[in-house]
Amino acid sequence: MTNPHLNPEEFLKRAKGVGIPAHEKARMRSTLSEYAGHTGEAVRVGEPERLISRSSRLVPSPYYRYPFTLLKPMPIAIAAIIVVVLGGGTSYAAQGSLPGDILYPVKVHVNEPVEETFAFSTNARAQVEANIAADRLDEAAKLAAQGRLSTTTATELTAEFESHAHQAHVSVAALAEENPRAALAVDSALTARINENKTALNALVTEGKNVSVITNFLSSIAVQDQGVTTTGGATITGSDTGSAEGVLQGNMREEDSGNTHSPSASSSSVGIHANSNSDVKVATSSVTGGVHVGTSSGLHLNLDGE
Amino acid sequence: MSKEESHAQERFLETYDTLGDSVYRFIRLRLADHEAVLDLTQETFTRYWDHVREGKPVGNECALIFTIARRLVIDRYRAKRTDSLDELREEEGFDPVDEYEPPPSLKAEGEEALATLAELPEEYREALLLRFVEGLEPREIASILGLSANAVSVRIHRGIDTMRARMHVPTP
Repeated sequence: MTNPHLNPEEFLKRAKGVGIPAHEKARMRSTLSEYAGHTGEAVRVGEPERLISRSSRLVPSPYYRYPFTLLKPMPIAIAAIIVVVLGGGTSYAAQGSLPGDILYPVKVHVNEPVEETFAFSTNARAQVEANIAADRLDEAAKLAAQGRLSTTTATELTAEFESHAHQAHVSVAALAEENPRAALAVDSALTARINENKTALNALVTEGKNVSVITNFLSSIAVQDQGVTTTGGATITGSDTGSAEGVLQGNMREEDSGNTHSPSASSSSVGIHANSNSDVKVATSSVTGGVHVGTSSGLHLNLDGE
Repeated sequence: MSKEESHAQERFLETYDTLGDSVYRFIRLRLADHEAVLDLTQETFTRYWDHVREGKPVGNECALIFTIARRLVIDRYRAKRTDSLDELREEEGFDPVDEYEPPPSLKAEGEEALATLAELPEEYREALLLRFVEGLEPREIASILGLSANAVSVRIHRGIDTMRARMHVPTP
């Protein structure tokens, strides 16, 4: 120990200087805010907590079946060769790469599939998919900030985002049945990251950078979004709140229409039935691979106790 | 959203602003993996929010939050003792702090103080942190650690003696 003259109490007080790293702190705050805003409406004080997962509200991407759209088979082979030749460090180096970078194929075709493969639990799976989906938006935002976001890349990133967001939603819906809290946490984190990126992109538009591409990118997500509203989708709610709206969905529309918190009971074509002991059932309809499957699954979730 | 609800949410975020760092330090005493520390810090607050929303009594807010954090850390330890491949992979990196070695880059005084605490025997760490870093009363610490106030005072006392011995500071 460095200072023999310091008394132990004084020495310990210095630990106050240690705290959550600033960027993590901000991110955590927005996740918590999202979490509180969400459960806050669905749950009433004094009642057992209850929440129903929202599920596949996003329109599945037409590219859903073709997860390798971003790059064609040739680059995949190149990616494999790069990793073999340069060794494992490449895969780490690839982590921060962006579309157009040499190592980007490694990230998308090596790192991410590996992560997916090793995500054994539903929770891990949901987190991995949500992270990948959000990564696509991060990439779009970074490229846009550097003025490198082309229309083609934007389209590909949208497709990839949709695809992974869809998979994330499927996993979150499954997770919601075994662990609603964890499901909500994954969902809140994803929503927070989506919002972060939308804010960043909107800021760029305001600055007048790359306006048309970014505006298109933002609206392509919004178009997908509106498409779903009419096809239905599951939502959440405790009892009579008007918050029957999936978080993902809700926030996108909020931002697009520019008005805050207009819980759109009107927009949700969802059957919610509360029976006498106030359990809530939701008729889920999910859309998979372009086929509309009406699975009136009666998703039934309880969140009593720990 | 009703006024009460938005007020409750604001209060909740304020609580996070005030106690977030404290919870983070507290969890760092026991977990070495930084991702896990962040994860549990966040979960502490979501659990706290659930607790509030369920209308359960809060009492001493600060003590409740530390109690939740402590329980989560203990649960994490237990989860580690499973041998399913699944769990092992997920829990990888949750090493108890006994193996904690502060990275050489963390030279800041605060980190040094926290690392010193983390090297102390387990029974002293939390008591000393809560007392001298977070400034809680022995009575509050007792409720967090599930001990009597007396036992807490004894731990604090012995913990300080141990530190003194290690720091080569003569007992006053």
